[in-house]
Amino acid sequence: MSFKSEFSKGIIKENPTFRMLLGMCPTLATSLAVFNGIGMGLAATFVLVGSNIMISALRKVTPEKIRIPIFVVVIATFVTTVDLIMAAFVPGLHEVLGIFIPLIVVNCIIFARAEAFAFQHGISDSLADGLGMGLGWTLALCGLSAIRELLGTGTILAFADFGFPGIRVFDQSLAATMVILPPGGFITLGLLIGLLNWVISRKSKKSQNA
Amino acid sequence: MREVLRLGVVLLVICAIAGAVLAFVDGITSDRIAAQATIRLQQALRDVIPEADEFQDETQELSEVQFAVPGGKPRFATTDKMFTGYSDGEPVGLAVMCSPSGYGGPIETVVGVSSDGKVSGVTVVKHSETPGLGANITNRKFQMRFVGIPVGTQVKVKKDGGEVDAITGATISSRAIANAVDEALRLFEVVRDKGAPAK
Repeated sequence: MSFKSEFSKGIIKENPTFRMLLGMCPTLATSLAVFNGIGMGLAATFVLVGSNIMISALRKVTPEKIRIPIFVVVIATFVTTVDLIMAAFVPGLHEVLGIFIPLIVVNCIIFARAEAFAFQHGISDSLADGLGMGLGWTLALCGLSAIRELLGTGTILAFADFGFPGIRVFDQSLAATMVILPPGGFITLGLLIGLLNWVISRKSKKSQNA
Repeated sequence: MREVLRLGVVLLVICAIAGAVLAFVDGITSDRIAAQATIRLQQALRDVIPEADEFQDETQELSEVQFAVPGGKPRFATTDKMFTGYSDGEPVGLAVMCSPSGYGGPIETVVGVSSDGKVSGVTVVKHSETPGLGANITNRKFQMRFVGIPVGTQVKVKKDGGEVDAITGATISSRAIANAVDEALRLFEVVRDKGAPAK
């Protein structure tokens, strides 16, 4: 497969959240506001690209039997390095994203891509895969959190850490707080997965008939 | 046997490289991270007592106050640090740093009480509250709800019978900040009655 198709498959066809159902835990926990989604998505994408490249580069010297502990060491080293460098050089950004960094370590998308892709593919393909999967995950988070933020608080694009209260679309008293709480997260996520599955199955039926 | 040794050596080498990378990164970042923490604290102190231009660490005195009752439980248990703010050499207020328990762990809060016995500012230095809900305690608008509360008031959120509006969906986080403000006001009273610099 080419660089382009390795990149684009993560966005819809093999979207990590909606199609492969990976990383559900951080998805539900952070999809409360659009800026959280962007922050978490970018932080995870960065680590995903880095760990994919490292694991792909090391795949020739990594014995099959101990690949899992080696993946763990590589990913953990990468996350810790990113955390420390951000804390030292971009403290403002670190304060905003800092809460997501421990969540990156437990994000199974990164582990899944290491095991299922980077370990068997070359460096440039792994880079494309990391970027595409990261972007797909970021878009999924943004979509989910836009719905939850809007219905749950009545505002959109709020960014509390920078003191930006967001654009108020309708009054707080009309907002359904339930949407922003965990049950609302499950329901919204389920509906979105269903919607996407329906659209994709309709499309493939059409192309079969044609 | 040879296979086991080979696997062990490969893992050892990779872990050693990872360890060396982390040691190197820690070496170049640890000083800067420590310096950032000091800058953040200074910034927070300036936020809560805007008229002060200098701060004196009074944490030594804090431990005396905490254990003032012999054999009793330490008072002001969540307070970590205490500073007196000075403007042109005159004390203008007391800044109290406490870590009340929120929803996701301790919330490092700095509360300023000006010399006339009113809350002059509240700010959150570090927290791990839920993004989008409890994390709204960092919002200026919420923090301003505490400004002006006088000494002697029991600071509580409305749900607990107090006066302060909690953040929707984040009562526990709001309550933690109310506790911090309450503790700061009581501490201010004790320090004032002792005749300490923050009159």
